[in-house]
Amino acid sequence: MTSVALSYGNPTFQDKLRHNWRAWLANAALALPLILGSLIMFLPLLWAVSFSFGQPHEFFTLPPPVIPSAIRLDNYHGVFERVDFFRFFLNSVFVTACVTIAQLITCSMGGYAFARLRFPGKRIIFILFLASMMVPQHVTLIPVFIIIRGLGLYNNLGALIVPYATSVFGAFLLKQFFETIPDELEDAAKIDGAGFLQIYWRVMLPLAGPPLATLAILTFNSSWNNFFWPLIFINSADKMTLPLGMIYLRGQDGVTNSGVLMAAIVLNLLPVLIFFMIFQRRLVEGVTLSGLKGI
Amino acid sequence: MISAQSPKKREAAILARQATASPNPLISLRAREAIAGYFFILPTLLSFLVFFLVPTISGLGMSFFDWDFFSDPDYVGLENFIELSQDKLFLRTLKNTALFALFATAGNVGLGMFIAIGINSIKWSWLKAYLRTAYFIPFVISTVVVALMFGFLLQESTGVVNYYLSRLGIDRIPWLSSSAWAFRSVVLIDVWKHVGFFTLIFLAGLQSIPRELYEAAIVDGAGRRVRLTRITIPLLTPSLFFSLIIALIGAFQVFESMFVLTNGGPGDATRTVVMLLYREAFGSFNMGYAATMAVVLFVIILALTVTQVRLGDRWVFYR
Repeated sequence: MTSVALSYGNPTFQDKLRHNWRAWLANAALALPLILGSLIMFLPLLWAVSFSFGQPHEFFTLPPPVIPSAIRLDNYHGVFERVDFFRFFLNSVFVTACVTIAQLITCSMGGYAFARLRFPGKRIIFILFLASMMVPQHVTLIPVFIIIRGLGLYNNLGALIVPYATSVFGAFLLKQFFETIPDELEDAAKIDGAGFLQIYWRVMLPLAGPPLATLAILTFNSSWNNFFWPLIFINSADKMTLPLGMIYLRGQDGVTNSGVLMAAIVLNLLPVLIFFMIFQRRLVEGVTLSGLKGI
Repeated sequence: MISAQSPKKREAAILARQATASPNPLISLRAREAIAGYFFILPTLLSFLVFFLVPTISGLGMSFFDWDFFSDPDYVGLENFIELSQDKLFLRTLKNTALFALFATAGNVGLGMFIAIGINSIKWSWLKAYLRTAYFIPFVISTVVVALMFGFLLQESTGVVNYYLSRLGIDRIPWLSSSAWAFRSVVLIDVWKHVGFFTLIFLAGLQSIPRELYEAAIVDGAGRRVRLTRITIPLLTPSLFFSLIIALIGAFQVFESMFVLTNGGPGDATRTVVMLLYREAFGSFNMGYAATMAVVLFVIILALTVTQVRLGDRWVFYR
């Protein structure tokens, strides 16, 4: 009796150890393929870094050195000699900052109206907005091209900002959030004599930090990586953003598939990875949120 | 204090306050709220009209015209659609796009689901965090950079990938120079870039499954496999459904990676509908014809989405 009670109720130290070992092994067996898979995610990036420091002749030696024979910055000099890389970077920063700030304002305004205000036609407008998320942008491409030219924004950074100054998705995201704010808060402000503008500015916005951060990060990421729009609207090098600038650089003499191109890739990766490291949690949250509630 | 009052009392207090503080007593409260509503949606509404509604309608209309951008458009009725249905190159790009969408969606969603289930069942939280980050990193890198990088790494004779494959005893693979392999490479690169996104969606779905279900199943003597097939997978179907829809919508619009990596080649092996559309519109200035392609693409995407939503009722498990 005692021995049964012991082995069931209080596992001996050996039992525990054996159990832990089995759990550890099961975990490790599961983790191994996933870890190997994760190396496939990293390896290309590491190779790009390694080649960006390499010498031209090293690309044609086999085996290609995984760690370059010496850290040389020639390829990085090569990038700045051929194109105004810093200008691309500044253009990207400017466009992304404008788009992100504009969306924070316009989407929170729209979200507030849809969530908290009554006005005729609200339902119809909202349904139309939602439907527009399902239409591929290529349907609107040619007319938008004509409109942008008509507005005098062709080959102008404004062409990359104005059409993106607001987003239906962002308004939807904020609407979902503003609907969760209790009526009491808004009513208290109304009793104190606040108008709608004051309620939006003093009550709603201060509470909307988390969804605004999510929107900012998602917008930042998509604006920073936007390629199709600049490809169509920008045709001079001094107006190019980074993704288009990369294609422009590749077209220069002796750049295709060279260390110079790898150096430019690393210069591109660096800010994105730093951004990712800082905002990882919010970004993951944002993607999950948009994934679950997006459409 | 406020929340202790009844809603009716609050309503009355608000009305009383607004009656005394009203800047213009001639405009009713209702009207003021409506004006505020229009004011707040104005930027979004304006942008919606100028950059979506008007362009969409005129884009649809443009498909009935022959237009070279410089002279006046000619009304041609359904001619563009008839021409398109006999255009061998268009049909080829449509087939490429459909096959790409099929394989990329299967790869991204299928692999994403299995990676997520794997990560979720690991007990060490540090490893979980590492894996989630590792698989997600490619998603934040721009497609252009990804394509340029792989263009370099996948070169046939001097590329690193082929070098290490040859060390493993595998012959050099013509990653980008043979038609069949170029297509596969483009799919593989797409999966490399996007699988982490779908992993995240599935991880969120997994986390929303209540633990009690698993505990109850264990009490009933269900093993690992039974728990996977009877609890995990059925309760993941909403995530799967959502993933399939957005993966397919995205894949049908694929453009950037092919444009940068293969420019549609070799031959037309990796040319997609949007690539052809881009060339027709901004290379040959066949605006009407390009608009027709966009309309056909839209109809296909819409039909696929509607079909998926209809079929979804049969297999998606909603709690």
